[in-house]
Amino acid sequence: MLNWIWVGLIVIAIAVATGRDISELSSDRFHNGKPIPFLLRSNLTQISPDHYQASVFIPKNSLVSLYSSDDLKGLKGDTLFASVEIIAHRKELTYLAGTSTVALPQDIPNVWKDLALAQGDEKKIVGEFSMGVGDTLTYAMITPEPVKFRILAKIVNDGLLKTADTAVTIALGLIGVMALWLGIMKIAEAAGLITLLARFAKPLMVRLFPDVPPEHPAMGAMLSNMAANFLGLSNAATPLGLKAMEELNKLNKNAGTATNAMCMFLTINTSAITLIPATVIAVRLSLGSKTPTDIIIPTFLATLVSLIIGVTFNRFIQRFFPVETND
Amino acid sequence: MIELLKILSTLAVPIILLVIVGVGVMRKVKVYEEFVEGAKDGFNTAVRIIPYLVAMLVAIGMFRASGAMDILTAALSPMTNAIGLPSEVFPLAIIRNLSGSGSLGLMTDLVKTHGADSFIGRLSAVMMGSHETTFYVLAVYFGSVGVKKARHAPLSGIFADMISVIVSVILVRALFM
Repeated sequence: MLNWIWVGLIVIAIAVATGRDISELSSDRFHNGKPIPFLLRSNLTQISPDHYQASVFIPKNSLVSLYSSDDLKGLKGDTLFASVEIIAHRKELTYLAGTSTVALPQDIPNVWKDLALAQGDEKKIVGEFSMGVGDTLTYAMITPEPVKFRILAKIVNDGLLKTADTAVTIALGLIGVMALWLGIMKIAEAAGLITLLARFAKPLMVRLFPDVPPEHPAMGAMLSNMAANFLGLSNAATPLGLKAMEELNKLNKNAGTATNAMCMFLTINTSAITLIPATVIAVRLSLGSKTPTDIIIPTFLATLVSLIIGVTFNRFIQRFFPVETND
Repeated sequence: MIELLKILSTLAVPIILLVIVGVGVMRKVKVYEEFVEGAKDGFNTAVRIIPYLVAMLVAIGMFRASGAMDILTAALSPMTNAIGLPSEVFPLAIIRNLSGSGSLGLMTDLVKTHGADSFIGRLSAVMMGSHETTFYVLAVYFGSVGVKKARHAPLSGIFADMISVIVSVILVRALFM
């Protein structure tokens, strides 16, 4: 099943990205190769022989004729001001051409946000600059570097490479708390506290996990994970849960395949029964809620109901997913 | 109430620690040696889950970066409307299975946009509070013991999650509207 989910996510991602890219290209969303007519607010300032700077603007009306109204969302005011830096490669008396970088202000149209992001920096648009002196106004034509297949590029950069990195960061970040809670767990085990906890919850646990011997250490480990989840100690829950999985795996006769007990344990875990959703309360408090804690009861009830239904459902469907022993 | 909760969440860890170490000392457990012995597994477990975490997070990352979420939201909106789930909150119902930080960001945004004590604000808070990053748990827990055939666990986890969304909607409607 994980196989299908995994393939599904990847195939859908690539299909959607390709579809959106093709639709952007066919509707010429970014006007690839076409200039944007900026107006000069002041004369060019020469910084060094080939390096110029200028302050430019473009009225909203000119943008309306270029892009669709959806693409213009995000633009505020009637005029958009920006500053531009130019590295000139051709200079004449009334003409200048070069490579330019437009530093964008805050409120820019969506299409430019996407354009800038696709070019690599959300605050800058890079393009070809060319300027001639007209009768009354001086135009600065900027042709942005074309953007093609930006979403496919994005799923590779953001989706693949960055998250691969993040995954390792997350895993390595677990080492500390993992060591800490596994250490504490070991003391609790040696002190007989886990056995005590297991004995206390035995009537419930033997019903949930009929395949696990009542005195098996897996019971205590699973209980301590559930207790940590219940108390909202999320950084303790993962190490204790993994410890429980390790114990459950000792009872597994088919390495590499999940046992009924493991599936039940994960179902209980994903129901996430919590006494105090501390993070959520903190967010609500910081955003001006008058009664930030009034979500405790509905949250608790929602997790309780989903736990009961989830456990029942899990027990019901396990017969349809037999363990395949020969592969 | 808030003060009490704050105190409770601050004290939980020290109390647990004190009880465990206290009982350990009373029962003449070599607490230091036992701690070190247990902690040794920390590194191996963390490293062992890396391949599984990379595989799962990469697929989720690609899915999110592609913008498939918007299409999914649009496609499923008649269904979500039927159970009374506002279309603004629907992405949260999906994201909370996939990414913890992503769903926290989305929930904060929803609460900010619609107001902390509005229906949408409360509903997203309840949904966030009752969430567990199902796919992360599946990848990490099964990964740590090398389980590749998850059998009915994903289906059952997703089902429990759908139930919790539906129950959240019903409860928030019943209690606050």
